Amino acid sequence: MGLLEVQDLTVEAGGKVVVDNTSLALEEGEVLYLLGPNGTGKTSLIRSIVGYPGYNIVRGRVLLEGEDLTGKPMEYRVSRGLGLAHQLPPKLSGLRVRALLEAICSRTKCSADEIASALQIQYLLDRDFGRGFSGGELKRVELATLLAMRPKVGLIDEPDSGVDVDSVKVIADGIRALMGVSRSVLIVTHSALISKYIRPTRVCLMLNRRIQYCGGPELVEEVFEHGFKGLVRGDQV
Amino acid sequence: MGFDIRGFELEELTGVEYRSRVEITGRVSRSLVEEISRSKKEPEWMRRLRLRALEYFEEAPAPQWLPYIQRIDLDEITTLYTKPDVEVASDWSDLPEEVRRIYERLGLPEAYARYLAGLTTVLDSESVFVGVKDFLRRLGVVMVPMEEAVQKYPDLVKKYFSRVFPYTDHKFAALHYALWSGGVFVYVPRGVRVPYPVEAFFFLGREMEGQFEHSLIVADEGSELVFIEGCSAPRLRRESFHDGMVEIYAHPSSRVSFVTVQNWSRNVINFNNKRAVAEEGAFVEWVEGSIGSKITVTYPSTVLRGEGAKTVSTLLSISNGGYIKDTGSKVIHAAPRTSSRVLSKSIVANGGLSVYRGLTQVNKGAVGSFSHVECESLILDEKSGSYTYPIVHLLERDADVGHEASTLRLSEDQVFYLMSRGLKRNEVISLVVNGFVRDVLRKLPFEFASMLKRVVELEFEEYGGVG
Repeated sequence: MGLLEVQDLTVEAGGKVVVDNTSLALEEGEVLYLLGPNGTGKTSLIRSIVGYPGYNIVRGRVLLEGEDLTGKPMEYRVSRGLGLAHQLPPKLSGLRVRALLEAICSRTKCSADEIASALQIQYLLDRDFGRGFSGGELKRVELATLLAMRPKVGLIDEPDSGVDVDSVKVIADGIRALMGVSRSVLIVTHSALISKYIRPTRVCLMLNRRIQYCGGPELVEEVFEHGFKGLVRGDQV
Repeated sequence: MGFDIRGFELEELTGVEYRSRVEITGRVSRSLVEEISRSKKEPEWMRRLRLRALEYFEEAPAPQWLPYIQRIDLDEITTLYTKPDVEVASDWSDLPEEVRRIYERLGLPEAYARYLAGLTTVLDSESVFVGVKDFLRRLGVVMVPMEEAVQKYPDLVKKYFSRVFPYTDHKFAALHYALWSGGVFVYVPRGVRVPYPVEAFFFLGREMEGQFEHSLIVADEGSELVFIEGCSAPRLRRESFHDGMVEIYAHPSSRVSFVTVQNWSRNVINFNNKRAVAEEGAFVEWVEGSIGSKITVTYPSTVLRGEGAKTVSTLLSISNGGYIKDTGSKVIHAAPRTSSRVLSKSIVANGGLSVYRGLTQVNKGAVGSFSHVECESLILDEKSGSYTYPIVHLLERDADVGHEASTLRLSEDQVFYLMSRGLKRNEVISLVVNGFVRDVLRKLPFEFASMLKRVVELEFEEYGGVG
């Protein structure tokens, strides 16, 4: 049995099917890359795994350590150990980064300062969350909140999009830190920039609202060589 | 209960133009006023002041600026507030549940013991305990119940009483003077700096005491005082109408801070008249945390009468639930090089309404004056509203007057985001609220800041039970 199992999941959001009958298993100690072009349902899949409001599971199940979380609210799933780093967190005027990290840390017994230093965001601690941040700063702060949550399974949505090269390195350090506290990590990316720094244990391709194919780490290079479509056409299950 | 509240839609109640008058039924009899004066064994001048105020009250037009109240029945108010009351709370357990819980959790008594120089506890209409620590007495500071001051310090009281806020200002100021009872008198002699805050804690008073209390603070030249109007009286189970008054006279180069943490129970119409006069080089500070009550209408005001006088107002209002806060600070710059700063923060949730109605007036000749007003609102849901009506009367060209207003509306997206961080909905609200009030709290002395912070936290602890 996998640590996280997604079984035959179909999800609707805004009246449309955004994930169509897809399955995925995440084993202990994995770093799984979920690749796929924009708009193919990657974000929807991981958001529905954590039970984000607005993503309606119409069929299938989500299990964490064998526990069926399908009908459970986000709050419960998060408390069981699912954590999501958003692609683009909202700006929160009046709320300092430090206050949010401390609020999370009060539950998980972490130190906001240590987390901030792991992602080199000490200088952002006393600023409003997200306000006036660069793309890289936003990603680092977001990853810091995930790290503070100490999830069993960390789901990271596009940590490397819209980010400069230096930031990618820092983000990679952050993901490594997360791998130290989480039992498994899933990274969604369509550029796979991050793969220069973090080697996946497995790679899955998502296309047309469904995971079409999973393979070894070499799949990253193949995607870069052939593009998503060229690759999937030959191997479609 | 003595009054009717107007049924309303948020939109109807707001606007610079007032649209409705309060209907006043019943009357306050001359004999009632005479009786109050007689029972307090007042000197002739006070008795006459009451009666003149009553006459003025009868003649003055009904105010239009209490749009939330449809009708006030004086017969009920005077009957309720002057007769001994079977419902008087004499025990902690008689307090409304929500008030008692908050006070217990605040641990207020220890706070007083730890850092207050003086404490006035109004227990009921007759027995009033005043605790003034010895050294305050040695400094020559007077802090006594208002009635006692009228007896013991007639010249001092006569010189200031009703001079800052005359009864002719409006109908309810007149009503207040006719019926006033309770309150505290503080006099700080020349050059005396009171090292710790003093506090008047109106506690479990007979209704009359709390409803029309009059506090008067006189800071003589170069003196300093911090006065806390302590959590303004937890109140009784019954609905009531409050028409209190605070007058502050700040002599040249004195400094007075007046701090209120108002957390009345949610059945009180809180209508409070607060005004200060600041002479040359004096500094007056108003800090007002408006948490409780059903409706609060209060505008702490300062008349900057002497050159170089300064005032700062820091207002924090919370309307959580179907409650209304109509507040704002008013400043009259009546002398050259006077300065004022107002920071108002309001939080509305669960159908609450907050209205900021401020006034900045710079008189002709008040050259080189400075005024800055900043209003921020945090709206926690769609059902709640917040409106800002800053009024500026600029009669002098040579003045620097500024105003800023901003509104933050917490969206469901933001709430969900924070919930995805493992926070419960009420923790999200608490986090956002704390972030919002942080810069207000930072301006306050530590003790008030932590007290206010806890009040605010408790207020939103149970916000929105469903996720």
